[in-house]
Amino acid sequence: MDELEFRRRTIAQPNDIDKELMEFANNNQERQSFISDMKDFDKYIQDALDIPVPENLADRILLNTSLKEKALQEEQATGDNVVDACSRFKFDRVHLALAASFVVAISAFFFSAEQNIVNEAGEHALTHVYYEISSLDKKEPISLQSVNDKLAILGGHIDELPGKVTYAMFCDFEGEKGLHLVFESDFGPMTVFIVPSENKSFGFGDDSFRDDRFEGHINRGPQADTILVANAGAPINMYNERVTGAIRWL
Amino acid sequence: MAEKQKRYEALVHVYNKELYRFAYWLCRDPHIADDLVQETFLRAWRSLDSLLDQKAAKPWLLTILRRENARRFERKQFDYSDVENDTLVDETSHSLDDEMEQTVIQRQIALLSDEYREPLLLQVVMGCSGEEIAGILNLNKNTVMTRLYRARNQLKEALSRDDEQLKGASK
Repeated sequence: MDELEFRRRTIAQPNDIDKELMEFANNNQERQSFISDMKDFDKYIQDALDIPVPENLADRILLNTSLKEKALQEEQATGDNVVDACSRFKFDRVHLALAASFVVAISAFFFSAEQNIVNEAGEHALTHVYYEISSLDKKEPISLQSVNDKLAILGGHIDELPGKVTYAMFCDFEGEKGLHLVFESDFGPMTVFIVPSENKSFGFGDDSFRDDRFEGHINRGPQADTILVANAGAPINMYNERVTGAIRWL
Repeated sequence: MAEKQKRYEALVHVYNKELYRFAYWLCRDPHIADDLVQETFLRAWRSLDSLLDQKAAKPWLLTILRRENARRFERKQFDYSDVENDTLVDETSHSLDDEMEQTVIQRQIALLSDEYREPLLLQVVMGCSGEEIAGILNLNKNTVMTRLYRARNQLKEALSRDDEQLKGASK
């Protein structure tokens, strides 16, 4: 090994110094400090790459997988039914268990008036707002024209919102491409998600949702569902009507 | 079924953070990175039976994620076109000095060309060995070593350039 090769190999893999390199650096102060410098530099790179990861990522992955999987299985089960009515007798245990749990969920929903099943779209909306919490701090107004340029892609148009828009981004809302808006209301910034409902609707559950900080409401529409998230205590019903009334579908 | 679920949960818990960071540095957008990781694990679940050797899980997941990343360029442009300006919020730095320096090196890493950045990310973020990187990127190991060497060299040079500029500016 020569000096050049020693350097190249050390730079390429500073944290995986093999025996050969070690021996070459042995009893040579300069080479040893070169290894140590490169290790320090690598630590520096590593720290720079070590960006924060969203806190509940693992949970969201598991939830997302189980929801999508369930949807897929339900779709397949419905497909089987249409093709061959007899096939329902051939359900394997998974389908059967799924059907059973579906029945339980439906019964729980219809027969227990006190039980309040929160719609998971509401949960998702809250998670989404927290994840992009800095969107609520934006102050720069965005013209209605540029909001409408984006909304036009989803097939909609807004006449006016009850406050100036400060954030308008396309987003992924449970796998659907939606529009994420924030506008300034008299009760602080409010978030609106406009999500096309052609492919899927938001399933069962209470259309109102809340936590300590925010409350929101899911408004279902034939072309799109609109979800409003406001600070807790804001007159959400009034804003609901104004927002949903302002959107026209082409 | 329960066995599969258990294996899957273990994979998610072990790799979600590393994969998110890797994805972030591939696309440099927190939302897209999130989507990529979600999609990767969903696909992993659906083909988990094909993963016979648990030790191969990391390169296997990385292969799925890279394919997903490549796929987003085939999709409609509007999906992601306007989130590119989202900035990275650095919550790990404490002092202003740290923060400035982090930003400089982060910017330089982002400026590396893909062929240099990707092997470096695989090595530093994912802890892959030279052989693993060669396998994932479909290159021979010598090429991988050369690229790792050049990636670090470019970073070093860029940082010392920045240093000199800073010194020049403060005179």
